[in-house]
Amino acid sequence: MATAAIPQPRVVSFPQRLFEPLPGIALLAAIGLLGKFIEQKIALYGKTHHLHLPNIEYVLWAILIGVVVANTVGVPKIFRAGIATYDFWLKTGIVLLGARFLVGDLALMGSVSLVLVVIELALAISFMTWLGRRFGLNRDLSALLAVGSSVCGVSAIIATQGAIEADDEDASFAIAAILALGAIALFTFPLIGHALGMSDHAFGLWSGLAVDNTAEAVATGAIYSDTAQKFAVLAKTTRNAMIGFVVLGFALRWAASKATEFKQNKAQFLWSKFPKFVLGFLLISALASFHVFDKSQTAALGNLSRWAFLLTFAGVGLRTDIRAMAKQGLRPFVVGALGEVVIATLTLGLVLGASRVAHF
Amino acid sequence: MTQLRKRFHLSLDSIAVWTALALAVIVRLGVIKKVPW
Repeated sequence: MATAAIPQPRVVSFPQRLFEPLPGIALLAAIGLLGKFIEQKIALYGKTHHLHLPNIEYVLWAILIGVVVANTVGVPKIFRAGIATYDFWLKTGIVLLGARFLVGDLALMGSVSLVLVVIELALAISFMTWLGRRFGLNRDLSALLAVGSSVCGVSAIIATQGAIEADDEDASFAIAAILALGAIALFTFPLIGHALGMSDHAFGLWSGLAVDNTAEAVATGAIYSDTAQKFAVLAKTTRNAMIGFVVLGFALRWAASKATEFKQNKAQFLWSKFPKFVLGFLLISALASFHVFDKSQTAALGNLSRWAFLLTFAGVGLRTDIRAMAKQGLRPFVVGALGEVVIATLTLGLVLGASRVAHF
Repeated sequence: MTQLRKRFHLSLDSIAVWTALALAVIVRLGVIKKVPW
């Protein structure tokens, strides 16, 4: 008697799972190192030929190589598990970067960031909600775009999708729009920053405030300078820390509009949405402030953070799927793009104003 | 990595924080003295 073959789930042993990400991590390292190699070669060529070539940071090369690979030859399955670790490297890099911030500076700059972030959140959420309504987008998609552009990109969209029970399709529209706009910011922000003669400090704050996804915000700062990257991390981390409040606000509003009750404990909800890596960042910063690390150890931690970011930036390029973004349709993208231009302009004004007041 | 996280009930954030802290301890103990860049 013939029996139909029932597909069995793939049984993967624990050691296999442990080694599964290694090829992808090696690919991230190879692309990041190639970016570094190109940066150094161009600088050397300019020096030996007495040419004033613009210094294009390895970050941009790594992202470009990643984009080209992902959108031409594609990424074979064997590399995918490792490429997905880029988010882990990003968070590890941010925590290690804490060693380069003293708590006093963090409190001072963090409070400037916090004020700017609160203003940015209010402006971005109101404007994007209004714009979504004007373009006839449904309420859920408008909310997801508003959260994605005001707080922290993909993770905020996913958290809000769960809280307001939006469709997967709306979430993927919003994610695609935010990622596409983040990719555009990588190339346009540094040009604008240089054209306006912005300081590293001001540019970093602007990147952290206006670029939505954390990896792209850090990369945009890094393309400008090392110091700009530091401040981009500070502003973006402050924004990330607000995710719980914003998602809770939307969840309460949605529950009220559907005449249902928000059943979870609010404090627990806020804690569950709080990005815990921010605590690690603060802890390392506190240890550095209490001189737990000497100068060479702080430098070593800073360089470890740079290596973690190198893997992240290669991952940013490799997971940029231009075809998938194009498939998502024009309307959410237009709303996202219009919103981002306005938010970028407003935050630029905020940062330039704050830099005059606080002299940075 | 997702499967590993689920197996040990860890979030990505906590793995990143513990990894960074482990690296900080290694550097502090002098196991790694210099990291080139």
